[in-house]
Amino acid sequence: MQQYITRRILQSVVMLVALSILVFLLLRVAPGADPARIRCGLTCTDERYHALRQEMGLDDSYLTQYGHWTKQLVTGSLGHDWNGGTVQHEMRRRLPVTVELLLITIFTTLAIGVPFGILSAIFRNSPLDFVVRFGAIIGLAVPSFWLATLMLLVPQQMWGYAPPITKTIGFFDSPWNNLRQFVPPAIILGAVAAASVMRLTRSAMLEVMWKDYIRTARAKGLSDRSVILRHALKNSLIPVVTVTGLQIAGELGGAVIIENIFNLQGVGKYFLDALVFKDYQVVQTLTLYVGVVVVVLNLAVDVTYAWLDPRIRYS
Amino acid sequence: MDDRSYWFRIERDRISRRRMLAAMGLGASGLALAAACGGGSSDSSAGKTPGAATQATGGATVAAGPPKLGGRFKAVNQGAWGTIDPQVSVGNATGILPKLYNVLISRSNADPSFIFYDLAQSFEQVDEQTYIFKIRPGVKIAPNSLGIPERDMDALDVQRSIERAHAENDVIERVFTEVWVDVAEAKGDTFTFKTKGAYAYFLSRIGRALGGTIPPREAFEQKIGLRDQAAGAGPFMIKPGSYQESGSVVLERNPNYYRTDEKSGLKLPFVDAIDTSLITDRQARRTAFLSKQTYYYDAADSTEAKELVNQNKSLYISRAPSFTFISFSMNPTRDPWKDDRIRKAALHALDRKQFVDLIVGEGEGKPDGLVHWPTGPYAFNETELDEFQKYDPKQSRDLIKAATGNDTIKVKITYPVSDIEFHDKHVPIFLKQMKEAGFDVQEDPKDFTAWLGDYTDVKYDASLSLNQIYETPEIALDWQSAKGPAGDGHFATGIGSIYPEVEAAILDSKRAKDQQDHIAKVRAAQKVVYDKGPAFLPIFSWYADRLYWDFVKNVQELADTATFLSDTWLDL
Repeated sequence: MQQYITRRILQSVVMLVALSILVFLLLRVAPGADPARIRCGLTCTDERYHALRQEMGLDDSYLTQYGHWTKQLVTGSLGHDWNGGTVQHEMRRRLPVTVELLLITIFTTLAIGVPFGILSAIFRNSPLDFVVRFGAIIGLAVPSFWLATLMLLVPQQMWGYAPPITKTIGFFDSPWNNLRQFVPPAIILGAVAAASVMRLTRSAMLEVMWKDYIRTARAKGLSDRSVILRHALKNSLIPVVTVTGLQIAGELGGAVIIENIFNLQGVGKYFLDALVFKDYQVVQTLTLYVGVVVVVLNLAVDVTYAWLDPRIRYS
Repeated sequence: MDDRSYWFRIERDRISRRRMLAAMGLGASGLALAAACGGGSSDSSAGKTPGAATQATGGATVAAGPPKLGGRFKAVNQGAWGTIDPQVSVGNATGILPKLYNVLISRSNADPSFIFYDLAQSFEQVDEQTYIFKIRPGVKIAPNSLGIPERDMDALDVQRSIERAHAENDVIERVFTEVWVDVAEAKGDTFTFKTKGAYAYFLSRIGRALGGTIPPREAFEQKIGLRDQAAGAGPFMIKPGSYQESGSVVLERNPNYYRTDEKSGLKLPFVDAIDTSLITDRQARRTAFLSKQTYYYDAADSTEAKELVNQNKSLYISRAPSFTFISFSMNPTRDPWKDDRIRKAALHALDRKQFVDLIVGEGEGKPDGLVHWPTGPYAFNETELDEFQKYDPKQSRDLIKAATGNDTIKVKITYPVSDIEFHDKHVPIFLKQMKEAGFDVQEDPKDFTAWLGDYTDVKYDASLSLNQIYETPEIALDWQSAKGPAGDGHFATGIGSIYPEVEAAILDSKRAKDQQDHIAKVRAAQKVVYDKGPAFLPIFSWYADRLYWDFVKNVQELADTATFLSDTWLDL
């Protein structure tokens, strides 16, 4: 197992290097305004514009620029963003926001997806099953940004309620207001992800429920609860874990939009702003950050496989 | 306090006049009416306060009862500040800079009879080129953590701000000071400006929220960075630790502020603080407003504004001309736009009234000439416009035929894919009208940044373009000049590059001696441009609607100048 993890980490490093090169090049060949021109502003003089290009390293060769960036990554000094602030400072400020949003989202995804998937499988073709499946289809079909807009507007219109959206509230500053702020967007992100998890849990459960060992368990006289939770569920969770891992990676992307709509000053919003301003430095770094998260999640999923199914060994 | 820019803070949203009027590098200047150009002197013992808000509609009384002290005003910002250095910021910060710093004077472009006397308690225009400002005593710098003493601002502060503009590349008013300012001299309690020739926009120029505010001289002398901190003598100061570059800030009452409300005798500002939040998404801004997390909201259009007011009688609308427009820019250095006849064909191809009717609805806007109608008497009225730019697709086709021998002409037109300022609604109408007039348009849509880059560097044949706020005719006319609106060749090469008489007329329009002369010269310049085939065609300007809760009292509609006032109170 250890050997496997080591091998995967090494593979991941190679993948991240490839990703960094790809992102670096794509940003530079994509059509769009010169980032120095954007940063320089409307009253920019040619003198200042050229100084800024030099300062941003845009006149250097791609190789030099790439080398400079990787050096910054290694030393942890990520430079300045289009606002003039340091990237590290912004990341320190924004990362907790996104992490909290994702944690609540994962909780919501699993809390909705897994139980309803199980119920749907147990009560197959019952009205409950139909309702759950219908809900899942809606969840998959409706875009999260639309749901998010509804989530903001409908309660306000109907009951005059709105979550606090003027500033991001830290959990330790005001737990209640923090949750009022984070739970609605997390529900939106979670509900969409939960639809996939729900459908997958249902189909996996149905498949497992027909297995011989389940019949054996029932024949031994075990209770339904024990059969479902101890035998069926654990074995049906393997594909669910895979999907959940991928969903979390996907939710990082969803967070870009949702953070914007709910005015959460997280990494997703930072990413979006950086893209709009073509801030190479920030976009490169954040893309790599997402890449690292995805790689780590994939690794975590693989390791979880082994825990869920001892037959799986990676040696 | 609120968001004012779109050029460099890209935003997928429509932007109203108020969001930008204080921020525009090219735009806001001023109407340059009598007091601006006519000589004589003017005096005010304190910053004069206008009466009730203008043009407010809806379910609320706007200014009722005596003013009240206290409360926290909840403002919204639609983009990051960038920098809050008052001489450098071109973005959103220009909404708050007038709350932190002072200008000499600021004359309203919405109501030119209103002049806010701030750091200058009076001024005298000695001749066409010389202005002497008497500095007000007691304009005391707020407590601050920069080590700048709580002293009175004086004439030397003004002089240093001009010196800084000369010394540093990124100071916004560098172009203005280099081109127009001959002498800038502090002497005792007066400050003298002498311009290089008569400059009709002078007073408007020095009173802008954008680049016009004056920081204490220590900032320049001791190289104290003002990028993310402030020390001024305006009505508010930044609450320590509250400033975030990404857009939030808390402004607290400056205990040293000099102004007192004339009627009530209360010390200004009325509110204790201004809490400004960053909300970029429109729906979130609307929700925040309706749930009273913010106290105003710029409606997407008049329909939305009216709907909200109908639903909630506690809201009212404050309406003002937008001072902006979408325009069609042609590059007269490239074919086929080098040909006057082709440019004139475009001039007559556009039914500007149809744009108004289809985009904002009848009565919600008006067609623009070369100078847009919100600037008042400088612009031609609709009857006059019929003479110069009558919608006549047949004439366009005839002109194309005369120029090319063909019934139609292929043209490549670029535009940003954007819904800012109703741009997305302009595109289909524009394309249809151009086609009917004989233009076979090859569309070249681009994402905003790509478009902006090419537009800035004049890498286009023609463009359906976004524009900024132009509170005076100056920049609108500069688009037709050889060096374009920025004066350095960026954004456009106007027909002034081909016709010296156009260049001369535009320059002459800036050198007016009095208001009537100024109006006449601006109108004359337009006629010269029309005669040669303009390369820049504003389409129409509209009214912008801002909604307020009825407990927000005494809202002023004074364009840029309103940002300097601190006379709004809360009746919570």
